[in-house]
Amino acid sequence: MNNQQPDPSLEELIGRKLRALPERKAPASLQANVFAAIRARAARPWYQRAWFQWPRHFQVLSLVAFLGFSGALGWLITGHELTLASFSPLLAERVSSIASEIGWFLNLMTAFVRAVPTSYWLAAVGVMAGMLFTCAGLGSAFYRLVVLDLRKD
Amino acid sequence: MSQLEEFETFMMNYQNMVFTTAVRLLGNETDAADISQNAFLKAFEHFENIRTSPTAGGWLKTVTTNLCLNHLQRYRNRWRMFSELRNEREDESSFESDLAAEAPVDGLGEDERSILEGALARLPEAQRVPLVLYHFEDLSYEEIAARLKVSVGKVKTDIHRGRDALKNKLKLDAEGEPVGLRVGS
Repeated sequence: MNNQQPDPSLEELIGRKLRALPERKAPASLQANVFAAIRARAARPWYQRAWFQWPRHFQVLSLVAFLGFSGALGWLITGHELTLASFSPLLAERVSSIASEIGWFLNLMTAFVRAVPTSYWLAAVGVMAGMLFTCAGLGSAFYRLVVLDLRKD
Repeated sequence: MSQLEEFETFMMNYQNMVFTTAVRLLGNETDAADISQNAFLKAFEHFENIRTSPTAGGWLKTVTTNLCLNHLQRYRNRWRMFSELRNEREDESSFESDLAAEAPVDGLGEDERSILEGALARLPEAQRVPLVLYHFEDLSYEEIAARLKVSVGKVKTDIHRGRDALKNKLKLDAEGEPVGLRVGS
């Protein structure tokens, strides 16, 4: 990279010119827009605001509810044998059946992966990476050469 | 005086400063107005703390600068993949063509000010932002590099190019006087 050292006289000259610039006048609509946004925010119901802006009693209630829920969940999980079968034996049976099907499929895939030599997998990954970069490169070139040219016209 | 009335006075005092900071960094009045609005909304959220603070102006300026840099970063990330090279090329070339197309600068005072504002706004973002942070926000090269997440060398190069471009735009001689207007020329 071209690493140019600062020219003190140019720095002083441009700095002086820039600092002499007066402030820009803010648009007349700025204040009205800010106050409209403040009014819109104030009109939002409490539950659409950040938790820290909720009314105090709702903050306390929500905190109590959260702690109660967390405690109940902890008690159910640690203090009781919470199993799916205790809620619904039929559902538990179906879930177990699906889990065994998934297990069978994973075993099959593992056997397939082990049967194919590692070099084949590396080659496949290389081909996929090559295709990905080719697509990105062609897409980028197309965008720059065609889309941007059309926009310029 | 109610809080809203107090805030109205606060806005009146600082709105030009906030807008000026934003428009110089962004080079665009529409975006600058949006950023100024967001800066004042943040100020309203913290108004209890800043209303009596002597550093409220500095705080507001820092908030505005940060909002502008975040805005530019978001915009840059959005378009980086396809258009970064294009933007740099086009920004440089459009600035050069602006330079060639406009009449030579031979004015002083108001004319010179508006030309300098216009030239600053049309500088490529990579030159304008560090230049503004250096000359208006009084940040060092190292601080600017850290804020923009680029090398100190790049900051120095970009600022140097920006200054050169402004100097050419104003057609200044070594003493900072417009060429052609000196006595005896």
